[in-house]
Amino acid sequence: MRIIFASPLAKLLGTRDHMITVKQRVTVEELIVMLAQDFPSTNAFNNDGGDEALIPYVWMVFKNGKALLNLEDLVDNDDEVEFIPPIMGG
Amino acid sequence: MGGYIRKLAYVDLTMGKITLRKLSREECHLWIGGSGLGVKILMEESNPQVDPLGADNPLIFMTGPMTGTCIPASGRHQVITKSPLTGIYGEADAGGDWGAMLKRAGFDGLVIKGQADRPVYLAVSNGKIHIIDATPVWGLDTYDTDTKLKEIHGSEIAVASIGPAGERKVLLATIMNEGKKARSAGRGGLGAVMGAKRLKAIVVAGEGPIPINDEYSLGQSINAVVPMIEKRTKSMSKYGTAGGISGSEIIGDLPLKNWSQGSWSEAEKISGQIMSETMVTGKNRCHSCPIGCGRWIKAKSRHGNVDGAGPEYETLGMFGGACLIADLPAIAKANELCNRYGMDTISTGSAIAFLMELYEKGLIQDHELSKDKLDDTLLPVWGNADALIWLIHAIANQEGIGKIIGQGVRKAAAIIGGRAPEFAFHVKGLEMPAHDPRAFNSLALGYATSNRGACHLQGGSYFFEKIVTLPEIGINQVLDRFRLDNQGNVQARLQDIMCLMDSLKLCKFLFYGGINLTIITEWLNHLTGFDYSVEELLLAGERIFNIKRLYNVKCGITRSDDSLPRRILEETRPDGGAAGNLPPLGHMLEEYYEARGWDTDGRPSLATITRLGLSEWQ
Repeated sequence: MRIIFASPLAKLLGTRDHMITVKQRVTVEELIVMLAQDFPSTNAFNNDGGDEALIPYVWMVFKNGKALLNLEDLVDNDDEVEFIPPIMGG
Repeated sequence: MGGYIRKLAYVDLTMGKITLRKLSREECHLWIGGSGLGVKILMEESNPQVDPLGADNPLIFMTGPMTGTCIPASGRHQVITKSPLTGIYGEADAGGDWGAMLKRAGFDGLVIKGQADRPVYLAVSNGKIHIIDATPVWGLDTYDTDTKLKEIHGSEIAVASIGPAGERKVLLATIMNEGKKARSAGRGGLGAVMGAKRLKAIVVAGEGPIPINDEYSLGQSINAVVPMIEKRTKSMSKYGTAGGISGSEIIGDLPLKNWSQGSWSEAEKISGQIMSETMVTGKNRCHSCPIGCGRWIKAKSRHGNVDGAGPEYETLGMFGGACLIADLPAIAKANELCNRYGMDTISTGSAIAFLMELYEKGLIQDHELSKDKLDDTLLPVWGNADALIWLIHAIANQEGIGKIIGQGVRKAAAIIGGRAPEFAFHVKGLEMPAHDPRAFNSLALGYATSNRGACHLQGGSYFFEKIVTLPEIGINQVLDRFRLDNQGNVQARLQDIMCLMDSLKLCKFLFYGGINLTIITEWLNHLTGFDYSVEELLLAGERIFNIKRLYNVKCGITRSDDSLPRRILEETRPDGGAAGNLPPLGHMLEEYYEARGWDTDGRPSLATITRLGLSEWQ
C-alpha cells in the first residue's frame, strides 16, 4: 500500500512516500499503529497520551484520490492512502 | 430569566429619536435571539419590498442569549436586514468582543431605522445611547476609525464600523468590528445599508452583568467539555482556518481558476502551515473562545507591510485559489486592504476571478478596464497579484471596471452582457464561498436553498462529511460526501440547527470540537432557566428558517432561484480529488422540498406554516 504524506507531515517525517504491505485488509486505526512503529522517532502517529484519535482531528485520511476515511474503514495493498491536514476552516 | 438583558433599542436616525422596548419572555422562548429574533423584528418593522438602501430598511444588530457569557465560543453577534447585493433576506454574523460588549452595555439588540442627514455614529454605554456627529471619522478606514474612536472614548470600548466602501454604498461592503482584529459581518453588502443610513460606527462600552440562571451547573457543564473542544480543534488552533487549504485542494474542494480547474500544485504556498512559519505572531481570539482560530500576522510584501488580522481560509481560497495567486504576502495585503475598506473578501475575490476569466476569454477588452491607460502589469490575468491589489482599490473607490464588478458578479455580468453571466458564480446574487459543491454534493443543495444566497455556513453540511457526527439527528458516522440520496432531510435539519446556532450566537466551529445538541440544550437551560428539549430547539430552528423563506417568497423567490451556476452542475472538475463528480441538484431538491413541507415551487405549505406558528407572517 502506498502511503503519501502531505505537508507538513512530510516535513516532519522526512519523506513524502512510504510503502506498507499488509497480509489482509486492515482498518485505518490498525494502519496508524503500523505507521507509529515505522516512524518511532516522531510523535506524529501517537495519540498524544489521550483517548481521542488523531484521525480525523489532526490528520484526515484520503483513499485513492476520492474517499475520506473513518478509523474503522478498511484499506488494502492496492490502495493509495494520503494523510492530509484536516479541513476545518470556514 | 438568564441570558437576556431583555432590552432592545429602536434608533430612528431620521428623527434622532431612541425608543426602548422590553423583550417578553415568550418571544425570547420562541425566537431565541440573534438571527431568530432579528428576522422576526425585520418582518414586524418593514415590508420585504423595501428599498435595501432606503430609509425604511431596518438594520438590526442582535446578540443571542449566549453572547458574552462564559459559554465557549459565544462572542458573536448577528446583523439582519434586507440585502442590497441580493435584494432578498440578508444576514451576517461576526465574532470578536463587540456583541459581548453591547450586552454588557445594557442591550440585547439595536434596531436602526431611518437615515441621518449627516454622518453620525452611535455611542452605547450603560443603558444609554447617544447619536454623535461622525465628522472626525467619516472617510477613515476601519482600522483608523477604531483608533480615532478610542482616542475620543477611551480604550475600553469595542467599535463596529464601515470603511470607505460602506460610505460609498459599494454592494460588497461589510460591517467590521474591532479595528485590526478585523472581525466582519461580511456577506450581503450590509455595510452599504449602514452607509446609506450615514451611520459610520457603533461604539459600545459596558461592564454590566449578564444574568445566568444557574451559574454553578452551567460552569460544571462547560468545564466537563472544554478539554474535548481543545483537543479536537488542536489543528485549527495551531494553523487557523487557513490550515485547511492544502487538504481542501487535495480533495477537490478549493475553487481554482474561477471554478474551472481541478488541482493546483501551488496551494501549499498559501496554506496556514506556511503562514505560521513565515508571518504569524499570535492568535486572534474571540470572546470566551477555547479554539482561537484567528491569526495575528506581521508580513512584508511588495505592496506594503501588514500588521493585524491574517487571511482566513475563505480569503485565501478566493484570492488565492480562484485567482490562482500563490503569493501569500500579497494575499495578506489584499486581505488587509479589504478589512480597511470594509469589503467582503469572498465576494471581492469572486468578482476579481470573474473578471480574470472574462479577460482570458476576450469578453472584456483593455480599454474597458480603466478610464486611464492601464499598465500592462495590472492586466487581470490569472496569478497576477498586482492586478488583485489594484482591483481592490478600484472596487472600493468605484473607479473604472471596479465600479462594475463592485456591484457583485450577478449585476456586473448583466451590465457586461454577452456570455458574461456564464462565468458569474453566485446563488441569488451572493457569490459562492470557497468550497466546491462538486466535492460535497450536499453543498450544492445547501447553496441553492440558503436563505441569503450561496453560503457554506447556513447548512454547514460539509462539516458532517469530513469530520464530525451528530447523533441527535441520526448522523452517527461521517457521511459520504458523494452520496446521492438522503440529502433532503439531512440538509433541512442541519439548516435548522445552524439557524439555532445563529440565534443562540454560538460559533459553529464548536461542532468540530465535539459539541452536540444535547450539550447545547443543557447550556441554554442552565443559562436561561427555560426547560427546552432538543426537539423544541430543533423546532425553533425550523421556525426561524421558514420565516426567512417566507420573507424571500415575498421578495419573489421561487424554485427557479434555488439553483447553481451551470458550470457547477454540468462541468466536472477535470482532475484532482473531486474529478468526475456532478451534484444531482434536481433530485436532491425534490427530497428537500418534501422534507421541508414546501410545495413544488418552494413555498412553505399552509400545513407547514400552521405547524410552525407562522400564520401571521405568510
